[in-house]
Amino acid sequence: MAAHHPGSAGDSDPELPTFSDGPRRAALVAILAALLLTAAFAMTRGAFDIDMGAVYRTVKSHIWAPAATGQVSALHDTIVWKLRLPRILLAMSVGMALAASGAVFQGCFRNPLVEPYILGVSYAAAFGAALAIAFPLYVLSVRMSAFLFGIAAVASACGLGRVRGRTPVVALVLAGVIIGSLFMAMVSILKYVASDAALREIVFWLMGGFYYAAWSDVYIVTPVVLVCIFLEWHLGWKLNVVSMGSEEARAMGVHPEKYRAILIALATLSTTISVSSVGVIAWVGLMAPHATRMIIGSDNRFVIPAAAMVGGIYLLVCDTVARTLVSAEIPIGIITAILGAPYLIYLLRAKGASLAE
Amino acid sequence: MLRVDDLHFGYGGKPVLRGVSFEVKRGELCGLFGPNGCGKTTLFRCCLKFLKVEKGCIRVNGTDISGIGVRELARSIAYVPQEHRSSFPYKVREMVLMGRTPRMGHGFGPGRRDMRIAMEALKMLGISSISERVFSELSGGQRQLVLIARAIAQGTGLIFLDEPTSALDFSNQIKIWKILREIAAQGVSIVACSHDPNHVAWFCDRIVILHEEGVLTDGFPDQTITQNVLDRIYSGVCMVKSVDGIKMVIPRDPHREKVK
Repeated sequence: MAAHHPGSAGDSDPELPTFSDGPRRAALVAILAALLLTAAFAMTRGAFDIDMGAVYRTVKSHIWAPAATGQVSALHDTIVWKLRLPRILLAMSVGMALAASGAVFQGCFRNPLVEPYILGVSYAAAFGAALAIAFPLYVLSVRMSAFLFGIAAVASACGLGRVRGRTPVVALVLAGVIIGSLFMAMVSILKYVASDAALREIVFWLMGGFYYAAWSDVYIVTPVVLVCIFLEWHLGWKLNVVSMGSEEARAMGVHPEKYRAILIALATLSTTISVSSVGVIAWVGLMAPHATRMIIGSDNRFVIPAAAMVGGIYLLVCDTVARTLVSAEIPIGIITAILGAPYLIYLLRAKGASLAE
Repeated sequence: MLRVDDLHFGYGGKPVLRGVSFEVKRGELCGLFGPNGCGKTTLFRCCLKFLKVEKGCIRVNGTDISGIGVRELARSIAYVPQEHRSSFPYKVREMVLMGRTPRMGHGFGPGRRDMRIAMEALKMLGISSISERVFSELSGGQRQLVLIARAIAQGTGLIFLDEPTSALDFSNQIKIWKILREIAAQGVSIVACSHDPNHVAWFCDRIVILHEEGVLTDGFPDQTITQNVLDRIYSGVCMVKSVDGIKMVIPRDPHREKVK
């Protein structure tokens, strides 16, 4: 084919329009700046207002000069370092995980209205958690139980969706719906048999939240999420090709089932580890990728990192509202739904017709 | 370039292809023609390894494709689907760049050279001006041109097109066939299936006619689009005429139908 393209033209054929990724790179930097600013602002907000300078001195004392910790007031140290920072990092990580996973699932399933819970992760994790809450003598911790059931649900959905050696998208989605509703029924059974105290805890877990966020959560969730997002980002171009449909992807040299499996595995790992530590948080995984595509286009090399950061910003804002709006905490699931509903309604009105086709 | 030998395939025990054999030479525009249900699309899907052949052999440049991987096959054969339904609003340039995928390394995506080749493909088809438009908002003719540009950017010696003109108006149909002729003139072999006997008779170098029992005939348009052959596949609904030396397939007794 090289014969068609005169080599003499080189890189500088003046008649060829060139395309630059510059604007999209600039958008990525802008979103990153917005994420950092939101995080810095969230650090200062709370029941006890702390100004930016004190936050900076406290964080600095831990990172650059551990010996100088004594110079910061113990109250600031506890609030900033032990309470707010892990909570903010966890909210960011979970938002990033859900949004990037949403973008991956949407690309793999060729459907912009898919969310990362499509294969039954949320209800299975809820069942795992409820099992550990309702039966304290059960061997696994709440988190571990939720994680294992979440992974098992996706694995069985993938197994169920496999028809004659291939895994058609429709079969996979249906398998996910079946697995999800099965676990939903089992969560209901557990709610029915659980004691009042356990029931209350199950309901709280289902709404999701960052109340108990501690550094130990951050150490587990954040590295896994960042590695998964990086690998998804690296496969972003392949995801573009996969989103063309199985046959076209194959004709363009991308094995559709192999790459779909890798991408779904990464998205499932980061989603499940998030859900198992903070509960089920809805809408982020659907809205963040969609909003991102409006800013940055459809190319997943840009959508994945940008959606992750938008998801991080969104959960950070929602969590800050949840912990500061009234003196008692509001479960974050309520905030994400209330803040997200206007956007979803807009989406329905603006895009509903084209989705129906 | 492409050599198909004694190909057999069936869906769930019902045979569709029974011993299909033909050959396409370098730079040839080959039309695959036949009635509905004769297995044109199935044949395509076997050659692109979307389906696993039961018996027989498909060779591209002398290599049996049954043993080679997806990525390697995509460096030899490009595919232009009949229609692309996109779920996301990709831009034209992104669509065309995706054709470069089998030539890319394992990095984050396309490099400068890939972008240049994609742009050259757009320029060759005269659609550079729409490179920033969203694919799904284009007209049918423009969409077909973009999909052809994507196949050209893939840089293969062989391109398969599945009914490239079936959804287009007359002027776009002729335009697409002329572009296919230009591509073939540059040494790329093209296999295009079509339902229109006139199109294949006017534009193809060689025509392979399929029917239920396999390849009915195979050769130059003069030898293949004949009264005898059309009677066999269409059981006498049309006749072959010559208008100023150009072959025309027309319905039998078109006037009588009109009077009714």
